[in-house]
Amino acid sequence: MFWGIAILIICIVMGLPIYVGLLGAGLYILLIVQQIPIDMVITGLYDGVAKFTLTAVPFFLLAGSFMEKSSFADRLVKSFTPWLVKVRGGIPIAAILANELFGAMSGSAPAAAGTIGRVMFPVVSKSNSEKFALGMFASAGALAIVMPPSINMILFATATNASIGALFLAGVVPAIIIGVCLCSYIWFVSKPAGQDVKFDLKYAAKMTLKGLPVLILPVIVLGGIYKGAFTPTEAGAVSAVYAFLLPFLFYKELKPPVIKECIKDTTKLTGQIFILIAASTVFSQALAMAQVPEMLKQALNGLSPLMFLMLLNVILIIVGCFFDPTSAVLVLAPVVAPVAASLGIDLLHLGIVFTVNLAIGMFTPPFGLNLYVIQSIFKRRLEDIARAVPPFFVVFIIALIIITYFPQLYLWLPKMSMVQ
Amino acid sequence: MVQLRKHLRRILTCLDSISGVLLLVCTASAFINVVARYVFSRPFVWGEEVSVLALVWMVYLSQGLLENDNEQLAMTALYRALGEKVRRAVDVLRCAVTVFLSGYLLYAGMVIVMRNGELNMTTQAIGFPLWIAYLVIPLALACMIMARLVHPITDAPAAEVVGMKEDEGTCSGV
Amino acid sequence: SQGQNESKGGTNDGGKKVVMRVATPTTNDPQTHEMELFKEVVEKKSNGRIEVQLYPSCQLGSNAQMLQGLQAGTIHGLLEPTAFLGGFCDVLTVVDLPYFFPDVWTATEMLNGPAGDDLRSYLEERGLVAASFYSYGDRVLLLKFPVDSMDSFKGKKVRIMGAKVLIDEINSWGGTGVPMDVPELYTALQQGAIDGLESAPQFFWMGKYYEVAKYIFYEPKGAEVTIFMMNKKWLEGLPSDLREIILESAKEIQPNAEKFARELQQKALDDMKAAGVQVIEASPQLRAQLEEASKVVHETFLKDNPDAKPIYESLKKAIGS
Ligand code: NA
Ligand code: NA
Repeated sequence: MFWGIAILIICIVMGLPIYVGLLGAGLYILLIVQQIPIDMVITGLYDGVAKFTLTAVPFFLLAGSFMEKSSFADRLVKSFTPWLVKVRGGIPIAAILANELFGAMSGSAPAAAGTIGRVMFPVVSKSNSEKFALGMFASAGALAIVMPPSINMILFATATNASIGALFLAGVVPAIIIGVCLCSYIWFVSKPAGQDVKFDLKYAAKMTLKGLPVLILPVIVLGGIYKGAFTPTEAGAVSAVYAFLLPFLFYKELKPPVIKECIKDTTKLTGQIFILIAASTVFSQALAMAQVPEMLKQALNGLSPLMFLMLLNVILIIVGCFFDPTSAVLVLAPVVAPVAASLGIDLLHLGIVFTVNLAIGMFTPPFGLNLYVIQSIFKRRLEDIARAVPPFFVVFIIALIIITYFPQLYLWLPKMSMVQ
Repeated sequence: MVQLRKHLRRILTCLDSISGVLLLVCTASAFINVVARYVFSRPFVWGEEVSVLALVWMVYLSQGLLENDNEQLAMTALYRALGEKVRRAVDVLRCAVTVFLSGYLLYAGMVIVMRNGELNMTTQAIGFPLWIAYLVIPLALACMIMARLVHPITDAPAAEVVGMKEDEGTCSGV
Repeated sequence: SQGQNESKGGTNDGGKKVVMRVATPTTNDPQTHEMELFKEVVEKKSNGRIEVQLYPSCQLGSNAQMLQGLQAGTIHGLLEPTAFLGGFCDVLTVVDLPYFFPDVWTATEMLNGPAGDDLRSYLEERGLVAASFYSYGDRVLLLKFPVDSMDSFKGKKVRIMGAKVLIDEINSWGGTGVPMDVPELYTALQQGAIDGLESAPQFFWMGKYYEVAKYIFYEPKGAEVTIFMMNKKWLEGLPSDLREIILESAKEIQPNAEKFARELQQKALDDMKAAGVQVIEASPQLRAQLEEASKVVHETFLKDNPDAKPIYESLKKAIGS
């Protein structure tokens, strides 16, 4: 067992692809420790991927790709920023709102950090400071994986047999809680709007009207899932088609070479994620075979749910510093979920705690995808970005504590949707 | 070697394009399914199994190109900090490990494909032969082995961190 | 470490401890009860020479993967409803034909007796041993709509357990049978992506599906039977006394399993009724209509599986007598 885990860590640290580490460790545990025929590895590679609910992943990735390559974010931002010009900290607050809304359309945090950042970085740098803007855009992008739709939630739900639709709905309020915490912080540290800034009602209304077709997408996706118009998988397909047709037909964007690029990006990302899903299926089945979840259950028996969640938060924050959320959720969720269940923790609650922690990991140094996105877009030094992040990290941690210990704040939404 | 690399990449790109077509078919069929439900109030029964089969093939058909272009998710921070010589040693080790693992799995995969064929195993709803469905795994493994063999040394450590190219402004990754 | 030595399943010579890995897809239901009973009896009878390791809740993969694992000998025993054997061993879904067996309890009793011999020998050709059959419950419908005639099913989507005969059954009544993963069922049902599901009352009760669908239509009263399969080669490699213990135990727990399933079904029905669920019994005419419509399912089954004819005929004869 020890060597199995050691193989995994050595492979990953040495820079071998993560799937190689997972497969190597899985094979070692199955073939050498458990002496099980190799069949299980192959059927695991097939079965881990062959799940209907997982088809939502490429759909949402494709939708995100279309949004990234069109004027979606630009139109989104312009549709409501004119309303906030007189508010203290209005411009960065608008950026947070834009991240929330973009998050409600797209499942990927780096896409949010990059797309919204590209549009709003200059204005926020001017209204506050560049350091502030760097920290804010690196961290606020993480909202996209807490606000549904979220690829990480799909992966968590599939790995633990939770309902994707219910987990999506459970994520709405936590994303708002984080947003409120961020906005409060922004309000405190920003100066009041200058006297020379004028609010123009006519202009604001015009821009909102123009942005309406874009603003409708989150309503379709989330409202559709809430009202039961379609399943999460169908919601993915609908948003991909919408994110393509709207710019293609009405904005004259997404010319054929761009479409080709979007498809290529999506197959690449899908391939990267799904080989991990396949390999982690083999790995977690190997752990199950070696009865590791059972041992963990016994080891942690008697721990109070509060203590367990605190421990989990600490572990996940550390894991988030070094790993991308995709691998982290795939490797840890199947092991942690049975333990949490035996301690009486709601699966949706656990899923949200997982998601928020790993969202924080997106912008914690040394490794965080959002940091690199911001670095490559704005050509700033990684050290400068990392130095800008801490205040926002603290805000996220405060939100995390609220979310961890007051699940009743958000679990009512999926429950209410079920009572209709 | 250069010619060989070129040809291999062309083949792998072609497989990746098939993967892209499957993506479009999959998306379109899921979308049409929603429409069919509302307009004709009758979903396709076969929709789910076909989507799953397309997904499996989509995923594995793109693996060859990913391996070839060294774009698999990896944590490359320590690797990049290593000296040139140690890096090359890690490369060779990676090549050996990947080829060994994939080769072993390729063999096992063929055994399963054959067993599924002999026993006429099929999917439940549409009765699609499982051996064909499974065939994509050995195919992908073979592609990965070839890709690794023609690139025993990773030409340039592409990934800054998990799937992110340094020079790339795009927001890939999840 | 010692954990490693204990779990070596490959070696089963004389003195060493034999590990038997038993899996099932479900959680907290008759099947998990049966596997726990089995573990208790086997470990006691063998004086600890056999250790039974339990893997419920799809820990070792989906139904399809577990079936492959059973064949390969990765898993030694597998409990699952015959309705999930479609595509792997379609002949066995003869059990799931609508209006074939009068009810699940009779079906289980017959399958465990001589009438099940054909079925068992068919599995043996595929390297599996059918150690025992257990009753899961009456296969009935939980619906979001009341049923008063055949027309009620028009345009309705009902989730079935996977076997083609069950898809055909719902289709023959004018609805659409759709397979779907269990984790999505609750939301799909609540949101109207499906209009109902077909399984046993205890399944509706444990999954709390009755919270979002209020009508139980007590038809076709099909046989939801669990089959306990084992890997033949592995079993034959065991010392004969251990093999006997395993096979005996699988049969021995039968009455206890039956009692548990019956009580659970009754409790489930009582609880759901108390929660406002309406249990609809079909009128004799409607039942006759449904049965008549279902004939095409039997025909299609025999056409799809020509090798099932002898099994079908012999079972039919046994049921008739
Ligand atoms: Na999102
Ligand atoms: Na991080």
